Amino acid sequence: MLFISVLKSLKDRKLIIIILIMIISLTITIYNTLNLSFDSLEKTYNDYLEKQNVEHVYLSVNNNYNDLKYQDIDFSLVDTSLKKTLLNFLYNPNTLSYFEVEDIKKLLDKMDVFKTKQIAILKSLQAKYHFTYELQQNKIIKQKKNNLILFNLKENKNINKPKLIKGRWPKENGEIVADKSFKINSTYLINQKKYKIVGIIYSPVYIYPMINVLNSLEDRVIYLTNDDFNLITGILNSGFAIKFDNYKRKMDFNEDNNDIRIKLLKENNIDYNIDTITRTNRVNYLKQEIENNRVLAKYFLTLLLGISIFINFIMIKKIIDSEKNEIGNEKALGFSKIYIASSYLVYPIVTIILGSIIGLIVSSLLVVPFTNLYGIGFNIPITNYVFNFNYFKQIIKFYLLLPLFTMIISFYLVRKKSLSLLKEGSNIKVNILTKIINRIFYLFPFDYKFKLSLAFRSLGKLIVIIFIILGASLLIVFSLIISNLFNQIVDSSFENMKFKYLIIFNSSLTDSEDGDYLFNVTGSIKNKEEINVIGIDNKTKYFKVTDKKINQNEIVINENLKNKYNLKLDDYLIIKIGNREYKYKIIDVTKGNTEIYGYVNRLDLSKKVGYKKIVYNEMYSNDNKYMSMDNLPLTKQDKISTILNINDLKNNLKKQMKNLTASIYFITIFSLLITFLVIVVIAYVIIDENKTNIALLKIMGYSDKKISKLVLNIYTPFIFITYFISIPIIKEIIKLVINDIEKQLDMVFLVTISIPQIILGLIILLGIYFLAIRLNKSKLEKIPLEIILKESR
Amino acid sequence: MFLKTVDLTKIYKNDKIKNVVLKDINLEIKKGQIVVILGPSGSGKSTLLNMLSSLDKKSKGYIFYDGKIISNLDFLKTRFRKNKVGFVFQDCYLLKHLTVLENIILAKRLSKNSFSCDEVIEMVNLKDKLNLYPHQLSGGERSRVSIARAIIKNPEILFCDEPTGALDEENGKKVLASLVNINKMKKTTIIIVTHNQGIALIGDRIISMKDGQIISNRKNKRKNPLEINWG
Amino acid sequence: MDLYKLENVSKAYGNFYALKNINLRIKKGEFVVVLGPSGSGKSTLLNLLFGITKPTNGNIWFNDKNIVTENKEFLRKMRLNDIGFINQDYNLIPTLNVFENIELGDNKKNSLKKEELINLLGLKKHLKKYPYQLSGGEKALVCILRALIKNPQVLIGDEITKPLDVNNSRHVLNILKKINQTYHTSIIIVTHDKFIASLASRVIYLKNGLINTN
Repeated sequence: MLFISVLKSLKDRKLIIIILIMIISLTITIYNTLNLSFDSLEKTYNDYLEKQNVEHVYLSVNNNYNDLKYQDIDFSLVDTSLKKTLLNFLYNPNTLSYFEVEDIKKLLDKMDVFKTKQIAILKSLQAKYHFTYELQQNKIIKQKKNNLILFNLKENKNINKPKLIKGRWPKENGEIVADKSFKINSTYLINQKKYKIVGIIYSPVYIYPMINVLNSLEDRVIYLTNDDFNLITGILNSGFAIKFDNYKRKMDFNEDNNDIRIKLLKENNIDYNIDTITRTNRVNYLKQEIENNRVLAKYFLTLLLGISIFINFIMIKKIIDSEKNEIGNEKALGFSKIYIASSYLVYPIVTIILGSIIGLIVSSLLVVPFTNLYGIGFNIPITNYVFNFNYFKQIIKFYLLLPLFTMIISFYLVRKKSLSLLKEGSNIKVNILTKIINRIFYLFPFDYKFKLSLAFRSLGKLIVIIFIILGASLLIVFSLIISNLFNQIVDSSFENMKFKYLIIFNSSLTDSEDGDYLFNVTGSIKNKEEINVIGIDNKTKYFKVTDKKINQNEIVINENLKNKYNLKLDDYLIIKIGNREYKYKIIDVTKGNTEIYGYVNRLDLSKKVGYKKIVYNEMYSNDNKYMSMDNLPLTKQDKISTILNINDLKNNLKKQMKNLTASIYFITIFSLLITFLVIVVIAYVIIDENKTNIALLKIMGYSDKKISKLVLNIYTPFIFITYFISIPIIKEIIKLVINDIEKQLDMVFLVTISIPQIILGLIILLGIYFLAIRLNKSKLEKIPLEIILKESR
Repeated sequence: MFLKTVDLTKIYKNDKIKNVVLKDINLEIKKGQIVVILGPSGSGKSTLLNMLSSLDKKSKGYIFYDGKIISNLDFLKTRFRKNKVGFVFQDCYLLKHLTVLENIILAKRLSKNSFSCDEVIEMVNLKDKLNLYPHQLSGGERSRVSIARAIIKNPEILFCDEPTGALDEENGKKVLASLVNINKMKKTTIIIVTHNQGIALIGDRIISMKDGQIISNRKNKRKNPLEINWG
Repeated sequence: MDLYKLENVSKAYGNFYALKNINLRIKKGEFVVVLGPSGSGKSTLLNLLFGITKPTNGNIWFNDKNIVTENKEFLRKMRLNDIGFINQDYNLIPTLNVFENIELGDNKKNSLKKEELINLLGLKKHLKKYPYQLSGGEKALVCILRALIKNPQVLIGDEITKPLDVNNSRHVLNILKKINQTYHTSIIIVTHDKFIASLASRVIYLKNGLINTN
């Protein structure tokens, strides 16, 4: 019967119970939806990899000229005039000039020396490492803002099978299948030849459409018939797709010696290059993305769950506190403590059950759209939607703490004397802090003293309110920092660039016009890591690298490089350029979280490479003639390989970040929603606790406006204080999360929050607070004056 | 002797100020009697009642119930209140979310040899109000529900703290009549605390208090509650 | 001069009439006690005097203004400036000291001299104390002072001696009487305690919603 009484009392507390249920259901919804969407995506992904027989590692035919031996080369195919230079290249490389070396390299590439060598190696290793391989070539054609990547359908029969999603496979030459950026049944012009698109496919090596940040071109994938492929002209890349018979896929390509991929490569001195890593990333990035999202979600959801349980507990405690009289009465009647205390379990149980049901229903509805949304950025057909109760089970465990807490708190109340419970709380003692506060603010206007003394009336309550506000602030600051994170990477990457166009030339030039000149050469660190060595001038208009003057043998490195090798200022860095190694002194570090590069003196670099004069192969310009190639004279067009528009670059980078930001937006929206509910609760508590005071002030003739100013603003100063306290706390938490993500991504994130953002967060918090108060104001107006008069009818 | 106190004393301490509310009370109450404790507010009568009914701890002295000492430890236990004692308060403290019948059933479950609901409802004359909620009742009706609730578990002793304090004469008399009726039918010992001298005449014994002490303790011939002169 | 004039005032809650056709005049400077048991309509009468509820029938004149027809704002100002309220729980704000509690009632318009009042009520040594450190009688005095400070035309009290013992009640009532004489503040006290009635210049008996002419 007591249970029925408590159950019936739920009706009188509709608002608060509904809010409790909403907080629980929102938490369960987002927890369930996010995790299930990740599961769905992961399952889709795994199935897809299995079905399309996707490679584990890709070895592009590696032109490692240093490793080349005499017996690798069929000298009968070599022009006699080059034989001597070639022999010198093999045995006496230091005697050759930069230009002679480049010539020999071109010759060796033409001869397919490396391909033949590699096939022989792979065949000999198959028995030991149990893998299948397939030679896979592609041709790249630059077309406007796209790289067309052309594949041979004949070569992708076993490994990396493309997945047809619309139309049919080509039956004859002239027919092609292409990725979803093309239109089916239309014709497409490649090198002036018309092709008919008969089907739309997903390419399993382009699951993640990576955009090269430095050339900003988007890859579009086309599969051609064997004949068409062989006929078409484009930059040919060859490589071997390798699939092990038994291998558990790993996300990244770290130097993990237990990884069979690394074993295969290392134990046999097979070199891999940037293509291997890029392609691995293109295949595996989705998995990494899921993992990143999981990490992000994990921390956020834990925070959310903690706050949710805490708020629910506080509210239930509040309800039970207000039932003091009833408890006293029930005790006087002779009910046992356990019986009384357990009757209040109705609150947590009802809210948890209803919240769970709603949460499960809503999340079951959301899994499909969420999964699709996450999948949008990836070239993968979403085939699986997972729904199970695993995550619900995980989370509900924690919610079971709620009944436990409830039991403890009601038991604590029940233990008190029934007489003291029945007494009206008119003789509340004043704690020392209130006395001190009152003394400190002795000279303050009465309104302030009134508010402060009410706020400090119960220290426990004040602490609770502070914690609730802290929870709300945490959610807001968390959202702010996270949403900041990615924009910031984009912004910081371009921070010092004031130019509009980056013109990349296909040869080194000496003539000059208005603009900043760069000489960009690829070098390597420790014979392994590629580094862009960029020669710049000490006076630049459109970009700024450092305040210091860069002299001979000095270098300014980017942050990513610094972190990767743990470098410090004044350290020396040895870079191999061409065939020689040079020792550079690090004089400064510049921002830049992607790729690895360093700035050196342009004149010095030109000389090191072998030019007599200062040269350049890149130029920054603000001249709008570079907006389109067509504006330029033909002689100029010939020299230019690409023109990059800075806005395109930014947009591309942002596109790459899109997926991660999707979860962040969800998190932000949910945070704000829950923050709102939490603050509505605070306003509700404030009014509820001060009912008699409000009625008293009303009867004294205070206006509603004045009363709400006095009573509802009791805790406003604490909002400010708590908010500012929450910033460093959340910063530390985020750093924790980011460290986790950083381990997986090759990037350095800067956890910062700017002053405008801090203010924005405060405005959001206050905005929500005053909105919540406004919502509760009607409640304030409804408080009957009769409370004071004890209308006894 | 059914209920007996020896040198019962109660001292409240508040901010170093000692306040002796009850001083050396010696009292004997016989089974089946109606005892009225009379006194102005602040005389200590409610405190006495609270201690007799184990709602409050005593500071000094002894309380004997059926020959056994009731210690402060018993105060912590609810068993005594559950089985032997019923309460009627001025503010009836009905559970506001339960109907009249549900409020009564709630108490019935506490005891094994309880009366039947019908019987009790008859006693307090509430037949047509069973499905109403407390806020739909008049003050007198609420009082009678709280009496029904107190009596249904068949207590040996019923403590009433100003049972008519919030009532007008007509309703007050009805409530008192219900109490006397119960005493007659079930031989329940009833202790009533009041400041209304008129009411006192319904008791077998009238104990007057002032400033924490008993100033008179006399026998009385019961009067019919409906015929007393309301204060 | 009439402070309050009630003309044929009735108040019904559903079918139940809490007040039936009441006619009543209260003069300025009068000390009136409304006596009656619970359920006699006392609280309803109080609500009407405060302008918190409107009567079902009839008119209530306060200083020649019919408060039945006046708007909320007028009634609020009336409560703010002209009526001081002493309620039975005293409702002192527990975290404010005595002085601050008194300040709460000050509307700063035509307030009386604080010093003088504090001395009159003998509260000087308690000013720095918090409500929990006061006895019931002292709390009552603080509540009275809080109501009086704005120099209202009338003090209205609801069962103000209920939590007090006899001596304290007497003291509080004597103070009220002194206020009545010193400041000519009208005083209306609603109670079921006959003792209070003996101090009044006029006693109104209320029973079953009717004024008992005996």
